[in-house]
Amino acid sequence: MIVLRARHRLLPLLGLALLTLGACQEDLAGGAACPTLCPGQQLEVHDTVLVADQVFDSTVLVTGMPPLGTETNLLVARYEDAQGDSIVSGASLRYDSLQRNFPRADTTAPFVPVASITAANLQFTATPDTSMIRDSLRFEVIDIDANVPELDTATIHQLFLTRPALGSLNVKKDSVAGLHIVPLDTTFIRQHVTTGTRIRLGVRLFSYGHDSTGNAQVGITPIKSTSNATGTQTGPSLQYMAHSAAPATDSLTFVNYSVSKASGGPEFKYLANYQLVLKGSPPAPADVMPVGGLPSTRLYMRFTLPGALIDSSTTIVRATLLLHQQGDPTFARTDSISLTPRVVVASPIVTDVSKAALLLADPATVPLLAVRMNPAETRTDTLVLVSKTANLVTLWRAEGPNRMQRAIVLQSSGEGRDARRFLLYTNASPVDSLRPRLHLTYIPRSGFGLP
Amino acid sequence: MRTLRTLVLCATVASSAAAQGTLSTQGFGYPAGGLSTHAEALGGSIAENDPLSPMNPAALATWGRPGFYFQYDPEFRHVQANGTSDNTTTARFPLLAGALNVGPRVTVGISSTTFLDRTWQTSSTGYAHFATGDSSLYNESFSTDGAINDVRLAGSFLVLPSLSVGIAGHVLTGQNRLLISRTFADTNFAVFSQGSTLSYTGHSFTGGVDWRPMPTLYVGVSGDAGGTMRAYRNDTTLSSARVPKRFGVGTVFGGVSGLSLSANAEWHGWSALNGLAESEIKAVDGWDWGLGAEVRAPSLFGQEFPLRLGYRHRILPFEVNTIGVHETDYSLGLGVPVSRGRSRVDFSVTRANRSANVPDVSEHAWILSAGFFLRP
Repeated sequence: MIVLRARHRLLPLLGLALLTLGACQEDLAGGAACPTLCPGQQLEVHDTVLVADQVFDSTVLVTGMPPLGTETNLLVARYEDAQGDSIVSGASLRYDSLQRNFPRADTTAPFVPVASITAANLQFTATPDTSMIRDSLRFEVIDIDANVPELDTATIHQLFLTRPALGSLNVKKDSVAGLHIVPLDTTFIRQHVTTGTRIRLGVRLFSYGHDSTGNAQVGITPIKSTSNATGTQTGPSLQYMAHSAAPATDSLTFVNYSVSKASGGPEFKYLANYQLVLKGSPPAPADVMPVGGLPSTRLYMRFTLPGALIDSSTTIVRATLLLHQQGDPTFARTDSISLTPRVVVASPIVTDVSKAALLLADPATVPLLAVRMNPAETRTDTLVLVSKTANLVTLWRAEGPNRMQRAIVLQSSGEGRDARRFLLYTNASPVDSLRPRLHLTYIPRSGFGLP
Repeated sequence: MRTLRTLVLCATVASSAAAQGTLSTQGFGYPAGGLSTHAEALGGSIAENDPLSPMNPAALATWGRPGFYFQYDPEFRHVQANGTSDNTTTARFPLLAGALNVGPRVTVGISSTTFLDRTWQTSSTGYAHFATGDSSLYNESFSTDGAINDVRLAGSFLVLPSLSVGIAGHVLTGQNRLLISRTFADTNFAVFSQGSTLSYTGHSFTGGVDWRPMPTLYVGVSGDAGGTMRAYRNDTTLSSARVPKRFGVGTVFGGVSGLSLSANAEWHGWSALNGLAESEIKAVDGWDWGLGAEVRAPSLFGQEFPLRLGYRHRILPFEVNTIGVHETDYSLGLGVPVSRGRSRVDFSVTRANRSANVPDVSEHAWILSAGFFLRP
């Protein structure tokens, strides 16, 4: 009986102990009595719009993008519209080292050279823009080799226009996608293989058939790649069936690839395939700057924001760049392309804007959102520079003004492969309302809680 | 993470959390420490005579065998304002203490207690309207985390069997981690986040006397002389002030069989902190007084379980909108002897009513306390 009473007396004690220990889980959410009991808890939120020279101190058009030899897609195009051949583009494929000898199992035996060639062709994979192809296509392959410096594309340009075809291939519209094999003149190939001289081939394009007018364009993958799964190599290849001299016991199909660099960069690399725009987009109107087109351009824009906003403890929570776009009816199409802001990571010592426009942050690192629209529209483009997912100002502040230019580059998603361009008004626009604007929302450092 | 943080807090001496937008956590925070669970149960009325409460160093003379004491005080707070209310839970560890005897007359003790607890958080939601005509929903949070702690090294000397004196040196140290964040529903806005860490250092000294003029009467008197207190951010001194002075007197009367009565009064010169604070924070001097009674309860397992009742009234250090905040506590507790009386676990529950002359605002709290006094 006494034990029972003792247990009863212990129950409240036990409950109190459990309640006490259970309170280890805090719940801090409060604020019902604010603002009455919350002095010093008001943030100052400022909102302002900067215009033209208050935003940019330098706006430079950078032409010839992507740089020669760094293309990821070689555009072969011919626009035969009401304006005639308004856009003409070809691909230059360079085979500077050709296989001339048969491989031998016995490495001590002398080489057996190629003596004759019975078949030769150029193989490449085309990615067509079928929306532009009204009828069928004819690929022509020409010899564009010339004894000129590497960057003398003017001579190559002439050869594209004047040289006869070494071979051609007619392709129906529904067969444009895929692998194409253009037969080549075997005499030409044999001559170069046996003498050990390089071959440089140009690929140009024509429409043919009952409706031969219209625009046509395809993209050729410029680089050799090897499938990890199958080991299969892809990329433009020069192939020929070669035979040794009598006794003609050796016959083999030799496959030659261009050795191109795999990704973009500012320098022209030896042996790189490249795209050559033979006839490009017409000049842009005087009061706008084009982004995109052929050859493509980028717009380099350097900011001149007050240091008090960027380098102080002020936090910019919103920075929205408003650009006014003039509709460009040239090459009008119904689909949209993107205007992409890219962050320049070049330091201020890079004074050559054409180089700075190539030194860009990876879009995954600073994922500024692109704006997708049709360049034919007249509209206001809104580019978000500070958002929940990407904060350009935080990056600038972290890097400081001496390590990183405070600039962006505007780039078209159709760069190098779409003739359309965005026509953007800049600080030089005669109409004030069309000049760029930067909408800023910022919060100065709060003295909350500090003496 | 929250649990881990709580665990870390459990391992530290004195830290707490409370909801902002309250009457009690204005300014540099709420004075949560200074009393043992035993003293809390008696409304703080034995503070001047209690060896576990780091108030009067002379009281250390009655500490007894060397031992260790720690305390846990969760608070369940209810704030009502303008038709809405908050219910929050706060975990506090306001006191850690230990002492040992150096010879028959001298006792030396060290303790750490929460001087001012400034851990709270508010959250609010609203619409931000901009000059360009657009607007966005946002969620905003202000929070601080941390406290100023009072680390005391004290010694008492038994001058006579009925008279002891004591002195103590205090180091006030701690940090407040201040954080503001605002997130917008519109993803075209970045998150605003601002963090600051405010550090404090200061020192003061205490002297006290504990006198037993009669076998059933104890009287304790003590006072603090404040030194300089500074607030830093990084390595920059932001402000300085004097540590608040304090003077207290208390008495315990045990002349009635099975009943012990006690009373206490403390004056705190909190206004000395005004030099440390931003202009919006204003500290005021005030009295803290309490009454208590302890009765001998029926025994269990051969041990006595003293029951305690207390009443306390005090003025909290920081005003709200230039209006003073008062706190009135009603408390109940008991002590549980452990290990044949060598050690002890004290429990108390306190109902705290905080008031100020602010329309439509009221604040009430239940404070539980568990004190563990361990002596090998």
